[in-house]
Amino acid sequence: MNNIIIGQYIPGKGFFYKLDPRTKIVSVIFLMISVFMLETTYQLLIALGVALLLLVIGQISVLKVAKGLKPIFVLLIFTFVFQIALNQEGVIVSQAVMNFNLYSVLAIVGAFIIWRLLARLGKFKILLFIAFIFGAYFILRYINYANNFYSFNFVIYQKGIEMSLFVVIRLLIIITFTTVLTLTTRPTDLTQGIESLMRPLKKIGFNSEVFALIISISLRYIPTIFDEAQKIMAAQASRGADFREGKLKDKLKQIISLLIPMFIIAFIRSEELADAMESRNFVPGEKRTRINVLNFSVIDLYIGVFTLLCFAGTIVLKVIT
Amino acid sequence: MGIYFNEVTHEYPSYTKKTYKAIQNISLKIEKENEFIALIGHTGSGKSTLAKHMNALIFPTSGSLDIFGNHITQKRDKKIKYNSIRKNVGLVFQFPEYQLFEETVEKDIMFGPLNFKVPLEEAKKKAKEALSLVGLDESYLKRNPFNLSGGEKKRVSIAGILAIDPDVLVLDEPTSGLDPAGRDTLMELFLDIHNKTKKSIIIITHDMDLVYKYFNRALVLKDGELSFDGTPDDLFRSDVLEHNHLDYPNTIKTLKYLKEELKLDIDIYKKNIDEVIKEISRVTSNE
Amino acid sequence: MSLIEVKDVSFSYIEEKQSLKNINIKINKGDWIAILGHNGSGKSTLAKILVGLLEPKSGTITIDGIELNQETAYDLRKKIGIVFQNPDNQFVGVTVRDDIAFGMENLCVPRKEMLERITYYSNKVGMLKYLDKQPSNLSGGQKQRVAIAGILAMRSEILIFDEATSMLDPFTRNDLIDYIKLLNKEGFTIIMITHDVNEAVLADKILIMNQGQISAFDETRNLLKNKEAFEQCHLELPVALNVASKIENKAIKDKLWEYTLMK
Repeated sequence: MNNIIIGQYIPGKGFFYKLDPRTKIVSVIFLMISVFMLETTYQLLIALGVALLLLVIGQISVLKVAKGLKPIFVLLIFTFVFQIALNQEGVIVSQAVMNFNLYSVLAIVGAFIIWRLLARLGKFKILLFIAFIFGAYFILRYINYANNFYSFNFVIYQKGIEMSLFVVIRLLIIITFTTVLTLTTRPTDLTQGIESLMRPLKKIGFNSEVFALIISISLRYIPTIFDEAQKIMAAQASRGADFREGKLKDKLKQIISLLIPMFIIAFIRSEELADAMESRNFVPGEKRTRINVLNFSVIDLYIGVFTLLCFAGTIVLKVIT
Repeated sequence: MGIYFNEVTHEYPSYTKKTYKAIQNISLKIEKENEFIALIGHTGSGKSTLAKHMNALIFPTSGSLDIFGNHITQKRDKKIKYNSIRKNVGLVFQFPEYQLFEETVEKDIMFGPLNFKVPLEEAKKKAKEALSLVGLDESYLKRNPFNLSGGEKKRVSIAGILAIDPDVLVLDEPTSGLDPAGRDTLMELFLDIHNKTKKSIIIITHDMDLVYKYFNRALVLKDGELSFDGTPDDLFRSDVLEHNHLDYPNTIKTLKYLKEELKLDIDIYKKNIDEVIKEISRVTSNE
Repeated sequence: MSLIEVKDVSFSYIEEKQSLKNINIKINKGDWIAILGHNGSGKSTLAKILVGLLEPKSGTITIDGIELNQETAYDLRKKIGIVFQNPDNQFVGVTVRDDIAFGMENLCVPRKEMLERITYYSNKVGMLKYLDKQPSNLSGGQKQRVAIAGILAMRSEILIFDEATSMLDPFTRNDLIDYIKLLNKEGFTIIMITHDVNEAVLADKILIMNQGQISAFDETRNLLKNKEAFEQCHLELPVALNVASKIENKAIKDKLWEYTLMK
């Protein structure tokens, strides 16, 4: 309850933990640009290799990164399927007629139900999903009766496979980079890094220091507010407004009964907090020293040079081809 | 009928350790009527977790509860209407800010009854009754709860639960943050409600003076375990408090000091100032 | 000369109702003053005025010979720190270290010195082991200790506790009070705002506030004899003194006084 992990930061020791967050942010941006400039699948595979190598150097287990992939796994699958289905260039690899009729639709519904039931067991979710996709494919292809509502010719082109692989690998690399960043950098360091990088914007009137302070105070109060929301929900449930029970039309009132106390407590808090900050001599926009400083060290230099080389390399590659 | 705990344990998932046992193996019977119970323990001793079990806001991770005939276990039972348990057991949280949200006191107090499908007119009547029970007059009905003082907000939040007319009332530190005058009036109020309705009332408190003065049963929690269940008098005569780093009531502390310093033959277990004075004059008149 | 001199201070949040009326107080260096009063008596308003969070409508406040106003508030606040009631709503940093540093950062203390002071003062309040901990993993008492360390690190000489113990359980409260005693012995000036008489008797002097006015201000021993002052403001005497006022036996009476004033 009190220990919600904000972001994906996992405490640890390793190469990337020692890096200056600014180095990490800038490097990730430049490496991502580089990846977007690559044009062939082979180049991307090499880039993937480099990304995996970075994981090894940083002693970050691939499993942790894979966990970071989980939320966007569905997106990856969709990208893959869309690319295959929509790209119609190059040599035809396979061709099959898909039939929609009473039986095949019923079979698909059946398969869907079986899939959802099995998914409830909570194991092999991804495998089950893939099995369902293939199952649907075979059902549509082989259950064929005279009175189809609709049939279409499902063609897979070589270019389609290439493109889908290309897009998926590119996404994988980018996600690996960003996961390394969020996995090894504390949210506070990340804000401080962003603040430091945005400092030049002061000339156009953007106060990055105040911005960073706002972010760090917000981060500090997320667990508190979460805890409070739970208490308010319990207090209202004690008055017969249980969020897990009740009809839809009661729900609106329940949400209001949660939100208003949350806002009011937040207002009280912000006033008290402002007093506490002012009594400790905080003046917005004034010069302050910092307890947390960012240190640019030799390893940052290595990573900087490495990033620059990658970036230059891809530009050269692009010019040559 | 009442609230019966049967070897209830509740574990929270924890970041550092595998799980954290907030309460362990609690067996306990609270009857529907005639109980006026003080629940005592340090911060983190599991008092609030125990209280939240009483109206099924949380479920035990092992063991079971019987709340007014509803059998509560780890699993949610679709046959049980958990919401209706809150009609049996009313729980008032420590901070009124957690529950006040309507624009008038009347509407806020009616929120509970209306959730339990009480007709509008009757809910209005209940709001009025509940408000007078907590010692506020009808002029408060149309006021904005957010413009009230701390003590008044607290009363309105208690009225919000009383209006539901629960069989048992549980209050989490209702007297904290109040000045002595406010504290005593509130306690008198609970005692008054208890005497009038016979309903059992359970109050979480740190104040040993109050425990000694008002309650007829005390429960002491230590590290999630029930280390005492009995009358306050027995509690203060035992050594439970010392093992728990808990304080004694001021009357006992004062008399104990006199006894030790002046070598008096005096009974130190006196609940209030009048009794203390009587005891002192008894001792001094003997001399 | 007094360290703090409050002269004819009045204040009102809204026109119709005066929250403070003609307050006059003198506090010497090293004093421990308790400001006692029930909720709404104006004691917290007074605390906010003393640290320059509110500006009095009339009257002056002088700290260490300097008059408190908008120009001097920044410098005077270095001398005077305040610990508020709610431990959670004054913890600014993401970690204990960051929070102790917050005030020093605002004073532009060089980083090297900040680190030294953090080690020293966190050790002093017994929180050295917890420097990397986040507030959600600390108890209320620990958070209040961090707040004290943050003020001490700013080298304040005056500490105001605005009902700082009222949200703590008795065990942690006693712990914090023992610590305040220690600070007072070391020479810090303590102003403790409370509605708990048992806490107030620990101070050298007690000031009773009622409806925005000072209804009594005296040495603790003298003030406790003034039973009317307590009754007028709906305050209770400590149990022992309440008993003492109602019995005749001199020996027992003296012992009860001794018990009350025991530190």
